[in-house]
Amino acid sequence: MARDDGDLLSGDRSASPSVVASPRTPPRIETRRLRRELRSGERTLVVVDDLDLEVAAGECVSIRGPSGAGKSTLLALLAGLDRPTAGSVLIDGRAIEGLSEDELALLRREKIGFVFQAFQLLGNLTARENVQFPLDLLGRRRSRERAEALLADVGLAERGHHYPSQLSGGEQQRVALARAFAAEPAILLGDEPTGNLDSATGAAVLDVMMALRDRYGSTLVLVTHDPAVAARADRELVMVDGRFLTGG
Amino acid sequence: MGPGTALRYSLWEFRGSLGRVWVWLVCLSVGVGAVVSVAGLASSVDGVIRGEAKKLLAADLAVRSRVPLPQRALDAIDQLPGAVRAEVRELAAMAGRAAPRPPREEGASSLFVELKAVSGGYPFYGELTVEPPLPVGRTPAEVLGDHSALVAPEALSRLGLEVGDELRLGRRTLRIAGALVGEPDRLPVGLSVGPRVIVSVAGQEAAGVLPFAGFGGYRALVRLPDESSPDDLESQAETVRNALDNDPTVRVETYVDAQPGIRRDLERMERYLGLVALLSLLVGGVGVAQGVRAWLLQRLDALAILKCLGARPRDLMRAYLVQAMLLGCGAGVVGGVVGLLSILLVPAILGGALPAEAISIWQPLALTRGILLGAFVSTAFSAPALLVVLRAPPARVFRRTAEPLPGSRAASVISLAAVAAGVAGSAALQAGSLWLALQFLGGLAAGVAGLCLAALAVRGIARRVAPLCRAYWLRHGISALARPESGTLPATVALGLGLMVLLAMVVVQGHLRDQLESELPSDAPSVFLLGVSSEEWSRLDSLLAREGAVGVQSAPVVMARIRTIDGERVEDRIDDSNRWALTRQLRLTYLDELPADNVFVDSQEPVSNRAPWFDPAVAEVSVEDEFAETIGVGVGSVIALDVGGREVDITVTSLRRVDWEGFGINFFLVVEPGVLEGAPQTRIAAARLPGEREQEIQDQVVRAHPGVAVLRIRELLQKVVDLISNLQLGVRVLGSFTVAAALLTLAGAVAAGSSRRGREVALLKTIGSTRLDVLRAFAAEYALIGLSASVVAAFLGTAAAWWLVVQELELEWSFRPWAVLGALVAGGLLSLATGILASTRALRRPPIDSLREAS
Repeated sequence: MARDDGDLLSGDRSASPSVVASPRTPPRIETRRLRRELRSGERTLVVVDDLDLEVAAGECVSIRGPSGAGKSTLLALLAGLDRPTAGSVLIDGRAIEGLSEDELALLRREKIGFVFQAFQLLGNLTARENVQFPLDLLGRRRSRERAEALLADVGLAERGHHYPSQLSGGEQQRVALARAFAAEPAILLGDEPTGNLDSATGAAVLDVMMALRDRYGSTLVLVTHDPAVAARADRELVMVDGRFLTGG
Repeated sequence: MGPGTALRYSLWEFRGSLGRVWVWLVCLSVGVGAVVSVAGLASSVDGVIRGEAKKLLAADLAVRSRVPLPQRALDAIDQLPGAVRAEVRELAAMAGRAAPRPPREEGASSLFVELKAVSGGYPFYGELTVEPPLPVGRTPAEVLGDHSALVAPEALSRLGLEVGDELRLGRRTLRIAGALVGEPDRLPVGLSVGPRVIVSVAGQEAAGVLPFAGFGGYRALVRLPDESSPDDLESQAETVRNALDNDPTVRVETYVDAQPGIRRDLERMERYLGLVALLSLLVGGVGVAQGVRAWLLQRLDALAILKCLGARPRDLMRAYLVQAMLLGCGAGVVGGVVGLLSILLVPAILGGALPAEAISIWQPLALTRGILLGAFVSTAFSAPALLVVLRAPPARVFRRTAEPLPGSRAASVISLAAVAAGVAGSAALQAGSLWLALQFLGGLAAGVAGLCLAALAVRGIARRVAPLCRAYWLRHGISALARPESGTLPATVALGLGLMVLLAMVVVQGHLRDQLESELPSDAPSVFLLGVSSEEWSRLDSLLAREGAVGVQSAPVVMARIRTIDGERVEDRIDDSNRWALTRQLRLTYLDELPADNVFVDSQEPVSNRAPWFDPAVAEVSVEDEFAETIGVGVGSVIALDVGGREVDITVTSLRRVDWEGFGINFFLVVEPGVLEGAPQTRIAAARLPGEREQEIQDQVVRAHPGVAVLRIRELLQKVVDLISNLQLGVRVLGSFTVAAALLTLAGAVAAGSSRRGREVALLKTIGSTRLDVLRAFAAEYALIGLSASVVAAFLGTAAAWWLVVQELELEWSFRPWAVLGALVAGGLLSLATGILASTRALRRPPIDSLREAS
């Protein structure tokens, strides 16, 4: 996908998805009767309850719901970070629950980016190294320069040599965004990306995320508590007790 | 993840973990330092021997024997084109003051010395170091003639003589031409029975000093033309060997061989000390294994993020293995450099037993070995800990309580196999012999198994005992031992191994020292008198009686060599185990009755009295049982002896066990009277002299009987003690390295768990514990770890020492409570101090910081 070299911080905030799924192409993400149970002592909790979901390529879907609704578990299942108790997750039409840990890792490496509420940067690595790492994993050339360019895109050109602990929350999340988009992923999964930020910083971070998503045409699944954040999506879903209140 | 990415990520991780890495680095460096110092020292001495091979032989080619060289050997040498020959005889003799000491001056007037008689151009290479120096352009034999001697400073000082004074040697009085400081062909290693005196062969013959059985040797040194190549040299040596018809009593060696005997001993010493050193490296490996595991458990979040980003488990394994390898290499370099520098201290520690010139710290092979072993042990021991990487759940990025991924049995087996391969491979490398490596591994496995069982038992006991303790801090300290990931197991194993080695060495050395320094049996002689002629024995006997000597014994001595056994030439029976017995000149005696300290263990017929002679028609011999086993004879065997060129057949009719520790006069072979009386012979005598007059009576004996040598047992034993002490010092130093590595392992374990420790301290303080309470709880925990390790180490170390003392050294065993108590106290205190020191950060940190971090 072509890369727009414009400054994302001053980009068009109302930009809409540049890629829309055609009815004939398989959904980028699909779940079929997806179920995840967890043991809690003697009890079995159903965290994700026979969910069916389709997300088209380039679509942005937000999932809202109270704590414990199963939103994050759903994201983990979509990324192959967790294994379903039953049902299936398909990425570009390919079921992933049967893949090995190595195959899942390769899938994430090539197709999926993450943004977390707690940023989840590697504390031993500088901001630039955090961004560079996924590029190194892919064996991309000039990974260092590319990482520096991505940091410049998110307004942190001068902070590349700082460790995460030396950055503010908003800066850390922007580093996380640069890292998430470094490999130009087809899918971006966001788990409360503005949850740890004040509203102004959160809005700025969300702008950057949307701008990057527009640039790379990534499919975005966004878990959030915040109705304002959810409203920025193409489609809003509400999840309670492991099920969608509205259709997936 | 490609190798470049793995390396880059490893370096990033290292940079962020320097606080921990240095602990592991030091853990391993101690062991590597020990390994490299042993290898470096051996290689350094070996290098000097090889580099100075000509000087050490003082010739191109040498022919040596314990008996005078056969004429055919000398003829063969003289026929070598362009060869020049010199002779060296090494004998034992008594040297003394020519003039009596001034009245009231105390000190020796006579001394047992190692005499070296030289002729011709000796030394062909290198030179004698003499004060004042010998005149340039003249050989020592020319300078000394038959009138002078060179005397070692020790002899000069003990006899109260100076250069220019007169020295009595045998029948002659010689002028002391100089103080002998060094000889090119003598390394100051091994046992020396007395200070050196050098005379010319003419001087020795004029003095009438004759060889005593068991002392000395003969060498013909040969210098070949300068243009001779090593191939020429080898072919000349072969010519001499052929002329000798493979006579087993004669050895032909060239400078290219570079002192094979000494180098063989050096290599053997390197192997044993190398294995002791390896133990400290393996203990360091345990420290790394434990530290890496604890550290990775704290890195679960990072591992989850990495997996989220698409790093495969195998990528992460590779990255962390690279880190372990880099760590090992780093430790190899640091430990290697320190180890090589430390060998500079060895000459000072050994006090002259090794000259400073023998040390060269540029030992690239030793350093390479250290780096390889460091990397090998670090990587192998980290492998089981890295299973954490495989099982780290990536879902942890969303849920901290995500359960670990299922474990792989194959991965567990492979990782344990890596440890086993690491230990076995490094043992094989260090031992240089499969059998020795297997023995080491067997002992190590037993030790580790014992320590593991003990650690598990301690955990079990702690679980049961903790609730019974009334003191809160003690209850907490004891229960800490029982919790999972407490580090009790590796700390106990590591510390236990170190203490075990150290204790075993202390106990063995104690036994040796006691044995050698103990009072001799009350009826044991205090001196041996060698080289007494049959004619002078009655006068000497009277002198001894007059001066108050008691327990005087004497026996005739006939020298002989075994030619055949049961018709088979000894040359065909020689192997490494019996070479010493079959190639030497044996001392024989003839006695009617055997001494009381001989016990018959087998005989042709029952022995009714102490005279085991049964058949008047047969020349009979009674053989000491271990010697009989060595040369392969039993009752009924026929031994053909060469007695002064005459062949004598004797039949073994009894075997007997001898109590050598009684220091009585005893012989391997005692022949029945009537067989050897006509052979050339001397007498050996033993007597117990009044302790305070021993030197005075010795001086009188030497003055009256210049050909008699007086060997004082106490002095000789002291020299043996000194020699063994030097060897054991090395083992003790290396054993201390193991303890140091073990303490670092413990410190590393504590440091690795510092976050958990910090939370624990914070919680304890939050619920009202004072810092003293926490300190006491920690003290109880670490003291108990040390104590439990030392209890097992005391048991296993004592068992190992018992095995060495009773089975290997064949000494009488006595339990050493003080050594054991010392090990227990040292183990407890060292562990306590290390644990508390390593916990200082956790103790000092404000509770709120730790709680915030935890949340």
